Amino acid sequence: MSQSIGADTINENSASSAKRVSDDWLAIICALTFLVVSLIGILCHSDTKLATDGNSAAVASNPFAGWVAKPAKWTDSPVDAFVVLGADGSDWSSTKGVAVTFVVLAIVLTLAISLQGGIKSGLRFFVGFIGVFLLAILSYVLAAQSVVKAYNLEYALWALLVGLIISNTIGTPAWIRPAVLTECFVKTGLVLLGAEVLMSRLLALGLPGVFVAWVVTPIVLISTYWFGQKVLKMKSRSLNMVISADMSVCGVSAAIAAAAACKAKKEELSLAIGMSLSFTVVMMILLPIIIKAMGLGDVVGGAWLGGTIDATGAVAAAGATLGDRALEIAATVKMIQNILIGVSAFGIATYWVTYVEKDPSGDRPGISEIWKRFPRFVLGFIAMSILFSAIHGMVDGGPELVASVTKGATKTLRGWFFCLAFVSIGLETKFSELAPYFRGGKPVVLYLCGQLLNLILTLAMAYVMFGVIFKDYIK
Amino acid sequence: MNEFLRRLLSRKIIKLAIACSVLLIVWLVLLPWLAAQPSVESRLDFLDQNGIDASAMYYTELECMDAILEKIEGRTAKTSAKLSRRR
Repeated sequence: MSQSIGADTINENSASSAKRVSDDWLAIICALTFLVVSLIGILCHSDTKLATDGNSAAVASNPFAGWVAKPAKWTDSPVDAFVVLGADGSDWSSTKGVAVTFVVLAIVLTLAISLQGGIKSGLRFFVGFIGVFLLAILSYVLAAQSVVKAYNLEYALWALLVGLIISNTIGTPAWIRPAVLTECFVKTGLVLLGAEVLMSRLLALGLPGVFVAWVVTPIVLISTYWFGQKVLKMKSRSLNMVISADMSVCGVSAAIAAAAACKAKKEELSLAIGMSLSFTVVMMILLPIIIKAMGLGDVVGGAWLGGTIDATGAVAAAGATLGDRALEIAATVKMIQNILIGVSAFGIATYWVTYVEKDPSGDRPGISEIWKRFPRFVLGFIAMSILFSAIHGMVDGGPELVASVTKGATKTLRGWFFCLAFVSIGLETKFSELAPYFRGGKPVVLYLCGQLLNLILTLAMAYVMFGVIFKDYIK
Repeated sequence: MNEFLRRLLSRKIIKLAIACSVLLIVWLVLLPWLAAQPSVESRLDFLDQNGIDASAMYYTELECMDAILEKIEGRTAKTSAKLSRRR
């Protein structure tokens, strides 16, 4: 049966009788645990050194860096993902990192599940988690092959595939099922992602960057959603929203946030991500060729790439083929667009609880009803974004501190949570359940029409902002 | 009934074995062969040299982003200093 990613949030109060703590709060508690432990570790480890100019400079080092890891990139043999054999000995850091990650996640999540449903639930989860984590390792190994990486085929796709293979061949074993907790993994990953959404970087390229990433993107998102509802008459509002957000904001990460905010079905998220990754590969190769053929120039071309290609890595790869300047502009525009994830998740969640889930009588819910229905993990996500943006922008040595927290440990953990979530989605999905979504081809038409609008509007805005009005400022 | 179950089970295992074989052939034979082709190899080297992980999901996963931000923030600081001196 299809389940929605944020299903618990609607009935949080009624669900709390069965579960001592809702999934949303559990996600916030787990993510906060990782962030706070990481922050404390860094503060205890930080040092003040004299910089070359004679002033003191904060040096923030994360004691957990290197202790959490994912399988490394490999080309010829998957063994290289775990151990690098060299003339002066073998490097087992990837294996150590993966093992420590398993222990950390198993302990924290087993305790959290025990808190939510009792010790027996916790133990059942632990046994199942061993299986889910092994499948996540396999997914990461598939994604770490260098050719796969070079063409933007992210781990989400392979995690989904691995789960689908198991559930559609031998079936998901009963002992694994207690650890197939898609919602918990998605929401914890999203709250951790909040710490990476730094509003203080919004003005990195000044006004032109804001216009391309923050004016065009919401216009495309809303227009595509409207087109899906009014013209294509999509049956599922949530599928429409996930595809619109995925295509207009920044691919997989935006799709995950939007799906959780609008309580989309797991199959809808899978479909949106599969489609986005397929079109991204094509755009990553074709757009630089088109830009060269049109003679757009590095700056306008880079801004166009940054505003249109869904995935961040693909934007950088496409930008680099045009030159350093194009890479710089493309990656920065994409980064500014990345920051929009928090605002879009908040906006989508608010729209959903206010307009889509209104009473059958047609009355709009009051503020207290909206507050009751509002997914708490979105608030956790926004709170982490605001907190870490404030630390980044207002505290002395803030940028180093935030970089140490996220890059040192929580970014890797966030990746593991999303990987576990996609394995779980695959384990819960049958191919036959995906088939009806392809019928009539409406999702593909929606994506193509939305992307076409995105390409036209972003090109116009990039040309006006980077090529005409702020031409000298950017130079 | 037992015979039916055994047949069903074996069909499931055959399906899994086929899927695993396809994965093994693609990842252990096809992809390493592709990686050794000159055009693909040069693309992989190009991405490595530029610190680009084309499969990055978020900007914090891009190694090259640090250098880009340092450059941009440095430039912004210089512009602000110039403006304040003019005032």
